This record gives sequence, structure tokens and C-alpha cells, in this order.
Amino acid sequence: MVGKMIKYDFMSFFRLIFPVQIIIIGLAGLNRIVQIFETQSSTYRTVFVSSIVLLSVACVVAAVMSYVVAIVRFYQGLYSSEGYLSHSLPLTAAQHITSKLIVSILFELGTALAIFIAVNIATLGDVGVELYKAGGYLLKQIYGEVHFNMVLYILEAIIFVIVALATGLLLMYFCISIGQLVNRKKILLAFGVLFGIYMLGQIIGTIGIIVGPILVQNEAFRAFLQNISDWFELHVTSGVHIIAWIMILLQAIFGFIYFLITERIMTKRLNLS
Amino acid sequence: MKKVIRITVCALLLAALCLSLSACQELDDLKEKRGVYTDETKEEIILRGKTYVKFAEQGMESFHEEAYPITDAWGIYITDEDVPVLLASQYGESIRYNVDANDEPVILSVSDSSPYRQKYIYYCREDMLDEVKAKMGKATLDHFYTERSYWSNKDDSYVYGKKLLSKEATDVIKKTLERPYDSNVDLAETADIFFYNWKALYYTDENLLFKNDMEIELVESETGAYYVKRNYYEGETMVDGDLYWKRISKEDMAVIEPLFYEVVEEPEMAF
Repeated sequence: MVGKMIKYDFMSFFRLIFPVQIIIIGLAGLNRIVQIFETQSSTYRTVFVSSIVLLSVACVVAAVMSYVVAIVRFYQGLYSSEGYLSHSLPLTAAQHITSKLIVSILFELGTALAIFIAVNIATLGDVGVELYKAGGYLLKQIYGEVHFNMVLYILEAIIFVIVALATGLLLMYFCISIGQLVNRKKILLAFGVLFGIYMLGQIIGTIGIIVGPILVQNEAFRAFLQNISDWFELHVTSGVHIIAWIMILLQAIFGFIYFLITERIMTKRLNLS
Repeated sequence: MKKVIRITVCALLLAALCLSLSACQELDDLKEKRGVYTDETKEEIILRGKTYVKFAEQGMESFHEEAYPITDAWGIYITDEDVPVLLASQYGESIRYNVDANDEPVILSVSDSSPYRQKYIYYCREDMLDEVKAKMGKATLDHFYTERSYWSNKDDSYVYGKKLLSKEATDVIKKTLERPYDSNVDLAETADIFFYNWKALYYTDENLLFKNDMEIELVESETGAYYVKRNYYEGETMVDGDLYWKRISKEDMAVIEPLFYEVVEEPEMAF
């Protein structure tokens, strides 16, 4: 049943997002065709720059749209009138959330892939070849420094991106779920919760900035920081792995908390309009 | 770790530049400004399809009277063969050069700043090598040039380049440097005087092709008098030279004044 739900979500995303991805690839092709007529004239320069700006804006719009559609589909599918049908299906709240999350992540990555293809089309030819040469050279330089750790860094980066993407979406699901607890102004409350979480983060950060220098004046704490710093200096590559996994775990913990709360609200306090 | 951070920053800059480099003209411009060492010995450079051969070295360790080519343009990078053209400015050496009438580099000067071997290495275009060597062997450095900014009609902007001094100004400078020091004339106001206008002069031949390590300082005092002094350098350190400034005579001041205040037209090409 979860598979069918994913398929249904996939089709609804596809109808909305795929045309946008096709458009950015089309604009990239148009940009490449414009380059065929390259001259020193100001007319060509104007047309070329306009096509680049159009392509850049389209890429940004596609990325934002993927994110917005993911949030809107979650709200419409589970908390609006469509929710009556969704919640009548033999699926738990966790399965609903997971299905929406998986499809959202797939389409976010799909949009990223479409942008990558668009850039490749726009730089097709000498420029694309030189870009890949430069990228390969930089990777070779990194490999010369860190050897096999480069592969691990890339894997950790991919994992972090996917976990951060999931956590970002789960945060939105969390805010929407809190918002639907009231009968009126649900969306406004959802924005309020999001703003509140942002402000809480800022307050914690400010407290850290104020308390940090005070803590550093403590000799024992300073010695502790110095020991960590010395260890990192001697074990740089391991240190980077540790930091990467700490960041991944932090994101995963927050994501899990948002998931749990969203699932609880959907199970115990569902309030469809 | 610093290298990894530098590489990551390069990669991000590359990603940001990738769309703006879609036009091939920019890429062609970058290729024009990038030369490649043919092998590890660095005896030859390939630039714009032409071969440049190493033919001279100028040590920065001690004073030299010998003639070396003047190279004053910049903007070309020399890299190893495996460095991509887009990374030439990050991984290559920035060099100075001079050009012929067709704007093609003739002499390249590469700074070799590895420890204990500080020097300039000169490369010459293969087809001009014999001509340049012959001229260098016969160069008489009895003129002066100065480096200054001037309006370039070609570039439609102010650019920095060299200007040969007039025969009159050259004779005045030489006459002043070669006469004996006279405290009645030269010390008259140099004890506490404030020099507020300064210019460096360099020895060159009449065609502005070659120079040596000597530098002449020409200054204008707050009272409007002009003083001149010779300096000898070891590396970047002045180790010898005239101890005292010599004052330009009052009759000759009118010849020197335009050096500080004239509007300079575009100088002639060296080759």
C-alpha cells in the first residue's frame, strides 16, 4: 500500500514539477543556440546576457518551486479536504509522512539533476570540457592531500545533503502539523511556529556568543579547548570525518524529533477542515 | 587542510563562473593569456602556439651592470602542462613580458623566487632569439627611462608603461651625477628638507629594449629644487650608492620639471 501511495504522490509531483524541469533544460538549449551566433557586437552581448539571466532565474525558481510544492502537497494531501480520502486509506501516519518525504526528496534531487543537465547543455563544447578538466584537476589535488578519505568525504557530503533536505522538509511538516491544531488561521500559526523556531535558534546562538568568551576565561575550559585543537591539528582528516558525522547526527536527531511530533499530532490530534 | 580549503574555494568560484564562461570568446582570451612549460626542465614555454626558449637569467642577489630585456606588460600566466586553463591564475606563475607591433609577446620574464635562487629567467620567442641576443650583446645603456601612467588610445584608458627621457634631460642627469659632490651646492637645503615628489629612473638603450639593476632617484623638494642620487641594490636591499643627493643646477631645472608634470603621449613599441 505504501508503494501505491508513493506512486500516487509521484504522479501528482510529476505533473507539477516535471514541466518546470523541462523548461530549464529548454532554456539551457536556447542559451547554447544563442552562443552559435557569437560576435563582438553589443546586440549579441545583450541577448547572451539576457539568456544567462533567464536561465539563472529559471533554475532558482525551479529549486524554490520544488520545495514549495513539497510543502503544499503535504498540507493539501493530509490536512485539507483531500485528507479525508488520504486518512481513510489503510496507512499509518508514519507511512503517510514517509511517503510524502521520500517523493519530495526525490523531486528535489531531480530538480538538482535538471539544473546540472541544464548547465552542461549551456556550456556544451570547449567551455564544458575545460570546466570538467578544472574540476578533475581540483579533485586530483584533493586526492593528493587526503587520498582515500576524499571518497569518504564525498559520501559524507551526499549523506549530509539528503539528511539536511529531509530535516528541512520535516521541519515544515512539523510547523504545518502544529498549525492545524487550531480551527482558524492555521497557515498563520504554522508560519508563527517556523518564525518561533528561527528566533529560538538565534537566541541560543546569541547566548553562545555571550557565554563563550566568559567560559574561555576559565582555565580548565581553555585547557580543554586547547587539547581538542591540538588533537585536530594532529588528526586533521579524522577530525573532518568526526565533524561531518556530528553534523549529520545533529540533523538526523532534529529530523527525528520533528517526525515524531508530526506523527503524534496526525495520529492523536488530527483536525481536518 | 589549508590546501583543501583553498581547493574548495576554487571549486566554488569555478561553479559560480561556469555560466558566465559559456561564451567561447572569454575562454579564448584565457587561452591567449596562458603559457605552458614543455617539460620539467622549464627550458621552453609554449604560448599562443609559439615556442619561447630560455636564454638569460638575471640574479637578484647582487648588483649587475649587464643589460637585460625590459619587460613591463603583465597578465600572462605560465603553468605546467596538466594545469587546466581555467585554473591558470590560481596555479600558474604570473609573468611580465613585452610585445612586438602585432601585440605578440617577444620576451617573457619569469620570477624564480625559490629559496637561495632568487632571479629572473628570460625566455625569447624562437624566431627572434638571434636578433635579441645580438642586440643584447651590443646594448649601450646610456639613456634613461621612467615608468609612469599615460593615456592609451588603443585601450581607451590610463595604462602603466615606460617613457624614454629626452636627450636634454638625460644629459642634465648625467652631468649632475658625474660632477664631484659640492657641499656648498648640494647640502644647501637637504639636511631637513622635505621631498614631496619622487621618480625612479633606470638605465636603458636608445630603443628602450634593455636595462640593468641600477636605479636613479630623482626628487623634487618643497622649495622646488631637484636632487638626484644613484642606488645599487642587492636583492631588494639598497647596499651601496651615492651617499648624498646632488642638486640639479638652477639653469637645468626647466629641463627636469616636465618629467614630473607633463602629459605623456603613448610611447613607441620596443620591437
